[in-house]
Amino acid sequence: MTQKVKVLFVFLAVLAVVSVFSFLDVFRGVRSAKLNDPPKPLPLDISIDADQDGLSDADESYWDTDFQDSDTDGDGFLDGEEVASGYDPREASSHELGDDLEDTIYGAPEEITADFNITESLAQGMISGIYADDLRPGVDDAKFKEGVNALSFSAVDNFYRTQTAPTITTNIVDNSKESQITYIEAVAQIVKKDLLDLPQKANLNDSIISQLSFFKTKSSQFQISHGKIAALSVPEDWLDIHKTILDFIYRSYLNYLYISSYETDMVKATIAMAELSNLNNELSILLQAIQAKIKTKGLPIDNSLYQIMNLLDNG
Amino acid sequence: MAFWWGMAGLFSIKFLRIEGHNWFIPLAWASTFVLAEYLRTFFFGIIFIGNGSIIGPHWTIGSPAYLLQDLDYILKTSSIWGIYGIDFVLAYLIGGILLFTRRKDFKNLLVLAWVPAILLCLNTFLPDNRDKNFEEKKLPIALIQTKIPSKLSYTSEEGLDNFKKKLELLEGASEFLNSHESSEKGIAILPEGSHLLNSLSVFLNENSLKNYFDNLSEKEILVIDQVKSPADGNLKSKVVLINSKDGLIGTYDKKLLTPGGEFTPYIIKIPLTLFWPKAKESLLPDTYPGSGSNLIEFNGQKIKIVVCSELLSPSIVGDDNGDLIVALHNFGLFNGGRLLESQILAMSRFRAVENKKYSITSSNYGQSYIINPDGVVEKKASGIGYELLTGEIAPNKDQTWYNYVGDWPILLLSSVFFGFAIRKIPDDSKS
Repeated sequence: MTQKVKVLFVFLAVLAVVSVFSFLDVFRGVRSAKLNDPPKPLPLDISIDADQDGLSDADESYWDTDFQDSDTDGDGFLDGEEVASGYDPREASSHELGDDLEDTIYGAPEEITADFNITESLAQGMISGIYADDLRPGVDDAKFKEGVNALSFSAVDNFYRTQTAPTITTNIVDNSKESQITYIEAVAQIVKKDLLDLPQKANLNDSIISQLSFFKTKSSQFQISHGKIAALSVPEDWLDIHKTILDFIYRSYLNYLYISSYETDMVKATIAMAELSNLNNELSILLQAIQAKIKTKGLPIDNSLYQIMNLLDNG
Repeated sequence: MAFWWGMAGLFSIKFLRIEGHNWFIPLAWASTFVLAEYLRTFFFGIIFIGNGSIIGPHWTIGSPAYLLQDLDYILKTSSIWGIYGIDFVLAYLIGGILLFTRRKDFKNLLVLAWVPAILLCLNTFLPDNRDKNFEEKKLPIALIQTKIPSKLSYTSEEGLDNFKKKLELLEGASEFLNSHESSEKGIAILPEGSHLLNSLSVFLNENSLKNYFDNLSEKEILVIDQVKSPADGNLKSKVVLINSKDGLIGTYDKKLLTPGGEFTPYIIKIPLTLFWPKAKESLLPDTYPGSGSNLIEFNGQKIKIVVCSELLSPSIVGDDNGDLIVALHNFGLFNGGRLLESQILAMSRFRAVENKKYSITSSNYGQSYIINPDGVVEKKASGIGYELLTGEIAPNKDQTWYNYVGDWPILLLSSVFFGFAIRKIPDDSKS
């Protein structure tokens, strides 16, 4: 074997060793991750019940009661007794824990804004319900089913309560042909740029979590479009459609924003994902309404968007 | 390709040393060549194996038989012995002529005489495809040819423009099919990469979509479209078949996917993962192969759907015996690629003859064709732009000899000759 061949073999051997190590390195992260790590002990012993009221210190923390006072609301009943019998240990009245669940569902908070966290609200409702036995399986089946339904409805209800579009002052102009054409052309440009982004760039084969930036960008895109459309001068006859467009774009902005916040509010993001298909449905209805109005008004529009709508309107 | 041909040549050098059996040398060479060619069709799939792979004798691109597409009397024989039979004859002739010119002791020309004799026999006894057992009622077809470049993203203006042209051509197709008096039904075919249904779903909801197809034509029209669709968590290249009056009547997920175009083969993905992990994130998601049948029934006819690279495979096209072959192509990735397109045309002609069926091809960024069961191009688009190509075809339920036996006879024959030749290799140590 010549010297050159020996050198070549040594080089190939080194390359092979490096390749094997690099290959194994890929799986290092996987190897080190244990899916079933045992729970780590807390640094302090909070399992003890310092005030001997039937609630451990950890539970006192959850119920927001005083861990050194056995009767936080001073109504003569121990905190533990009140929780066990379904009463609120913080209120001296006969306020039952189940009431909290109903509060979450139908009442509080009265004003819900876009940053309202539905996942947290749902989690609170669930825990309240479990402590009140409303959501504890096997205790009262009818109440359990009712509680689960109420929680689900509350999540969806709260979601739609976040969807209220802000009130915007619109600059209304006359119904002359020119102002109508100007308005329709401007809407078409915005719709083409922001709403009909063909083809869909989101990777439907990938998880939401890996595409949060896409949804965030899309949300910003809709927010800008909302501003643009809100600034348009609207012919009086187009006011109703204008409001529908604004509402549609605002809700699109919100839903993409919610999906991009998947990590902080998973429930809201999931409902928003489902809502996207509804929005898509609404978009086609909206475009058809615009097309029908253009036809009724007999407006001469030379725009690819409306040409396509004409081709699709083959009935 | 060169590797396998070279290996076959190298191996055959051994055969050339067979003493006293000159007549056998071209046979041994042709057998070796055919077996090497057959193995090559597996090899491409193996070397570019990936998430979307299926392994089999599919990748016949570059087969010497395709060079002879214009010689009718040779093309016609593929309905008997397929491309490997033609490869065999070609290799036999070339080997024989080469020996005749290079070796003094190889003067017996009779060894080549059986080749023209057998071709003559085959052509004499082969039935004329156009005269037998074809449906009397012809079926009108409209091929919608598009010119959409393959890009990662399109501006909305580009998307709308492409969509508008497709709608206009579909309207034209509908007019043609409606005006055709001989049939109450017709087929409009969009190419691979058309994604018409994806675009329609942006503008139309379920009810409007139903109305759109319903109003498209008075007659019943089958619209064949291709979309990318995530099914069961995996991305699929899906052909959708929409009956204008009945809605979706079937789908077919492409089986033979193109490495590099539809999935990243391991040979590229693994080194990238090892040495440049970030590159993996920029790879496009893999498309996964389907497993269902590519035979769809319409108007009492069985339509064999073939998507782009699947046309390379005689077995995928020939399985289950359709009454006509509908091929959807996309040359957008190659910006037309005339060389590739000419190979695809040759393959379309061979597949038509092998199965004795009309082969109709709708292309994106390439020409569309209507090829009759004799492999003759009856009609073709004028260029590679947006165009509507219309015509009529006669579906055929007959099966060819090749449909029954496939490539096995010629492979078996080649194996026998090859085995015999190996036995005859002289032992160097003894000599």
